[in-house]
Amino acid sequence: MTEFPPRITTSRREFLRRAGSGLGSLALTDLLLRDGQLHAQEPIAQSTRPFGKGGGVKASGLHYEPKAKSVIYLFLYGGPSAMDTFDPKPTLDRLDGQSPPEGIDTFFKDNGNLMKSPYTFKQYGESGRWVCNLLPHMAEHVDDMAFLQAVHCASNNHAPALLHLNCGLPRVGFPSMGSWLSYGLGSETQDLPGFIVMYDWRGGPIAGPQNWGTGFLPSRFQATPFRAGGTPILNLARPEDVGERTQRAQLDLLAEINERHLDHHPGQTDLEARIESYELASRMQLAAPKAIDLDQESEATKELYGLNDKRSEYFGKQCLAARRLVERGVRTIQLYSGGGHQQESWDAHYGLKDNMDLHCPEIDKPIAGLLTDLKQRGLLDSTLVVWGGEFGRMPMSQGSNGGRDHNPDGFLMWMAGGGTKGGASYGETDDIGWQGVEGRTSVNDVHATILHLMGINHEKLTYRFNGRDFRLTDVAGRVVNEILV
Amino acid sequence: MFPVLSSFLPLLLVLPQEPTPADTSEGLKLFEERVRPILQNNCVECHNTSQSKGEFDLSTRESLLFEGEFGAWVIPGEPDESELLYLIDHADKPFMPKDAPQLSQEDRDAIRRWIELDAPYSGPIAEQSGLQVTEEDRQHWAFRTLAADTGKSIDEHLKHALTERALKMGPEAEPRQLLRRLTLDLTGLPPTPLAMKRFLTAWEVDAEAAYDAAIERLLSDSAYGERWGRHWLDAARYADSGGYEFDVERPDAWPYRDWVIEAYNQDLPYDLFLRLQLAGDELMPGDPSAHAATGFLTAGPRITNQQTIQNRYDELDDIVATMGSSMLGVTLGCARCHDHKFDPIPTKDYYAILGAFKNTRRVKQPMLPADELSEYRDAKAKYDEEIRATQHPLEEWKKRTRAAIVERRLNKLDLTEEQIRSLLAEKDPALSEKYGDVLKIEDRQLEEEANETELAEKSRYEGAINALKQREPRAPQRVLSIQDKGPDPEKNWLLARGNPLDPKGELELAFLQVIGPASPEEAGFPIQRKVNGRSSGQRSSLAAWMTDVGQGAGRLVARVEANRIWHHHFGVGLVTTPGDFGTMADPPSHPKLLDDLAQRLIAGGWSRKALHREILKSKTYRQAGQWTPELEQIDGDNRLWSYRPPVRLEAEAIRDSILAASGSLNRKMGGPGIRPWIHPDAIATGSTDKWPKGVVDGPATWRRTVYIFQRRSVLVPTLETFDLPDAAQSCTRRNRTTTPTQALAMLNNPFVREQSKLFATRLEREAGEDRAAQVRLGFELTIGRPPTEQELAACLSFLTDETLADLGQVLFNLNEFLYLP
Repeated sequence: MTEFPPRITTSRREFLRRAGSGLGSLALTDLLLRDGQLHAQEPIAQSTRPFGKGGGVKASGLHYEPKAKSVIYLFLYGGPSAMDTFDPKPTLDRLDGQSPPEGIDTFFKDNGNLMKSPYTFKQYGESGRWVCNLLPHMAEHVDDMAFLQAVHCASNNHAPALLHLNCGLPRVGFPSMGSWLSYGLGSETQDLPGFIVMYDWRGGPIAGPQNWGTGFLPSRFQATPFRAGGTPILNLARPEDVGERTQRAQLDLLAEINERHLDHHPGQTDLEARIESYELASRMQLAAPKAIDLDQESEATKELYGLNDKRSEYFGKQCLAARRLVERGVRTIQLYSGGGHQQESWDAHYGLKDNMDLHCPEIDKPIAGLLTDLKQRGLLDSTLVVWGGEFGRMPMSQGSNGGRDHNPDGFLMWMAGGGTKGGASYGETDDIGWQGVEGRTSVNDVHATILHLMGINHEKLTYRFNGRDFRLTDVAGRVVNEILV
Repeated sequence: MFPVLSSFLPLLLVLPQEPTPADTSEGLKLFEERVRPILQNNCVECHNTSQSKGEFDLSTRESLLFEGEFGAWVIPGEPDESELLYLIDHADKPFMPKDAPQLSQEDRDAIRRWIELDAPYSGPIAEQSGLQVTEEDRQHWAFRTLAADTGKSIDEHLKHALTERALKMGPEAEPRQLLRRLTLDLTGLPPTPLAMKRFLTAWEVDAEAAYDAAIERLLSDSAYGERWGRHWLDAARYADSGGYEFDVERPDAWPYRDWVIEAYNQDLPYDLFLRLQLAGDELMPGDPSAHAATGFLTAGPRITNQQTIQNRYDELDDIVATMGSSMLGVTLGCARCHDHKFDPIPTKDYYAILGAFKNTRRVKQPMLPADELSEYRDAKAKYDEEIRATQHPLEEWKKRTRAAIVERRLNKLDLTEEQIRSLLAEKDPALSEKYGDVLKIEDRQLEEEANETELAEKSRYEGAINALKQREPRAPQRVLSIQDKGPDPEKNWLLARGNPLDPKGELELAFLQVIGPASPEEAGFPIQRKVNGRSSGQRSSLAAWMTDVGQGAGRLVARVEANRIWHHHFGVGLVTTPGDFGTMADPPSHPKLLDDLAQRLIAGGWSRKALHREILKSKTYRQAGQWTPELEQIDGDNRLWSYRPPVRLEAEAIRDSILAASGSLNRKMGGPGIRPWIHPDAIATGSTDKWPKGVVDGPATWRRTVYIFQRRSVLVPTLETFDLPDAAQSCTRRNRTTTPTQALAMLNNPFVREQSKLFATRLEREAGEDRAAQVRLGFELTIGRPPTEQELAACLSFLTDETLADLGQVLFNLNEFLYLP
């Protein structure tokens, strides 16, 4: 039956003492405060690679050599259409206006006629991928992208589907993938959080922070939401009436009294860790604003990310900030395109064309720019870029309003960099793009693949909660080797 | 993937068993000893008579050898021809067993050999639920009968284990530290300087008496329920909204929260406390507080924009799982899709106990006793009649005035009397089209064209109406509670692999087999219809079973509660997993002590306060936190309780301590949740704003943290960063993390800063202008002791350049302030 890795029996305190004190021990507490059982031979968190040098992953991975060190997850909230972006369906052109097959269950249960894509498609790259005319810049990168064309998830309802894609189960209360990665791999940065989320200017996604929560994992693994400008983190800026000198004096007095208290409680590493956490906080106050200070970037770079175009400026800034965070050793960065409801997000129920015309130009240049930039800096090999939503869209119109309803049964995601095989394609939906018929890929498979590229065996990354060893991939999941190098 | 052939299989089953040749004795032995357990544990769950994935059913030899559309999976005597071996060797897909680790080489060899030996069966393999609950399972430390009370004190129990390792119990803590520990532990608030002074004075006279008196004072302080009730609310995954997309607010949830707090304060016997939460509506129909108690069953997260059978089962699973971990210390949720992997909980038990809730629905019950409710209804009916009567003259006035205005308008027109008559009767279309508007008078025009006399009359009528409205009887607060849909239990099934679309055998309500007799009748808790026959009575039966020490789960429930109380007093339980007493949990550090405490909880009429007293009075609890390197060697994880480490306070106790120290804590109890200011960025994280913006904090929001509106999609960020659980699932043990974002919150959050200023104002007001006096009072208010000479000097030096508010904020950040000593 199920195998169980041995428990880490070394007491946390003992381990810390052996590991020595100082900053390294803080990262170690990350590993040791876990109640779960990791198969970590050597904690990767000890990696001391200098920031910003790019290329070559030094850390040895949790279970095996990782291909990717960081993930940038571009989440197209609302559910982007596959047949109108990267997976056109000529059959749909032919059947346009005819009745859809019987038995398609949709969220609004208002199935209109089959509806062809309003866009034209052209082939790009050596892989010959067809891409719609709204994404000309991204199209230039198809040979870097590995496509999963028949992903399926468990719900046609936004909240459960979002939770499924983010946390592995279509229910609340489970840790997000970014939290699992922080838990499993620790942090490579001592000045920044290991998991950062940036969401759309129109608002966050449905179910909000539950999408990037820690569930039952310790709260230190939760995402820190960053804004793409100004003060990036809550409580990062000093209160208005507290100057730099005053806060320094506060920290010094605090340390002095705390140290004396610690003298009376020798061996209490929790007290020690808290003393150190104040110094780390202090460093974060300096490092975080710098990390997203885009003034440091050249005009050419800004142009590359589409910062000079009103439509793409916001998402472009986030993509550029994401690259800067990757350079600084942040493990997981998740960007949301689309916020609020319906047309504000990719949720094209009412007027597919209006929706796509609005959103595609927002992301086209920024994502293309991100891929170009990562590549020219030698970072694409060690950075996994993931693109996708919580589901796709149906081949027919929703009623007569020219939009498409949710399709959880066959949708498209792509990954680039980080050990994926550029130009590869796995899975197929039927001729009209309703259901996956070949190479169906579950959400567990997607997660297993991402974890694999990060050097983690998804079956071995577990956490004991309420008597059960939980995994991101629950009880299933297969690494999709077909799209890996 | 494969068609299920279940309709054919019953035919196969009636085929006579093939006679087994005598020379298969080796094969039979192998089957019995090795193969049957392997198939039983790894395969038969999916490949049985009622569920034969891939047309493969191995419950009997005949079905094993059945040649379906895909041919036979096993050819007797021909292992190399038998596809099964390729699948389990992972030479062919699908790899078997599916979604599980590969069988060991030895296991696979055994199966190969068995096939070589003609694959004989000694009898069918049970198709469903291989898990049989055995007597050995019932002897697990958590499930077995409670040992008789040894009569030993807590200290005697612990000393025994310490002595064995040549250790001694640590010395007693200083009285200041003791009072701070007691006060924070029991009330979640720091001791006031006055309470400290009185305690020290009394201590000088008679230390024991002073200590006992402090316990009694604190146990009778209503702040006790606010702190300990919060512990239970974690386990009950209480929140004020429903989670998921719309995260619908539940303005009718808080009466449950208040009921819990009140139950603690009144020391409601724990058994009754549980029974009311499961079946208050059936046990005490019409009693509003009993209805409030069932808020336990309605507190979980819930999808509201889609009604599917899957969602309904998710809700039921939430109830069963929460009941399991909070009350029984059993991870029942694990048995939803398959027999529990470690604990003796077959899937059948899970669905049988779930049946108690299947028949329920959520209702909002008025929080008034029956007589007051009928008083309210009478008063409301009377009021409605009065208001109708009072509104009548206004309606009459409108008619009269309308007529008057029409007349005045018509008089201004140059029309003949005949034309007017024709217009009024709408006989002339042309005329109607031209002058039709003259006859139409909107309410707004009524106001504009009425003359002064008419308007004065109107305002008289309106005055009377408004006066009456002031006396409208207030609708009673309601509580989101549960009741049965009717007297007959809803049909209930075992779901194969948790799939609601794959119901198997029909089930009646039954209890956990590992506890004792499973059927309500056998266990002695027969189901009787309740509430004048309108309720099925299943939950009453379950509730009776839950707390019955003889035939029910009472012994387990008592162990779990005794451990929970210990856990909260010491930061860690005798069993380290308060929500899991199963076989994978570490056994109790002191099993006899746990049983004694459980026995005493029961013997004391399930009084929790009595158990608090026993623990708090022990020397073990009163130890100083003296850690030494030697102790680390022998008792590194402190399972012997040889010393007392400081334990970080929960989010609530930190916020409440700040408010108490600054003097701004508003001790008002109960009522709707409050919503303090939070950073707008933390509000905009969802698709719609779910928290008011621009809140100005003040006494209305400076209340105890347990009263903060617990919104599932918007946790107050500073509380969240200090590990406030998200109420998505039952939480019986909080995380206690140390992060830089906690430091940032304590340094930079506007709440902490504002309280620091209020704190400074208080120090100036109460300690006068003398800096040293201010510092001393600051220490007393925050950490319950005066500063040392060195500390005083450091603080005074700090104050030469910085403000008293800056110093106050430092005190709020001290480890000594943030930890339970």
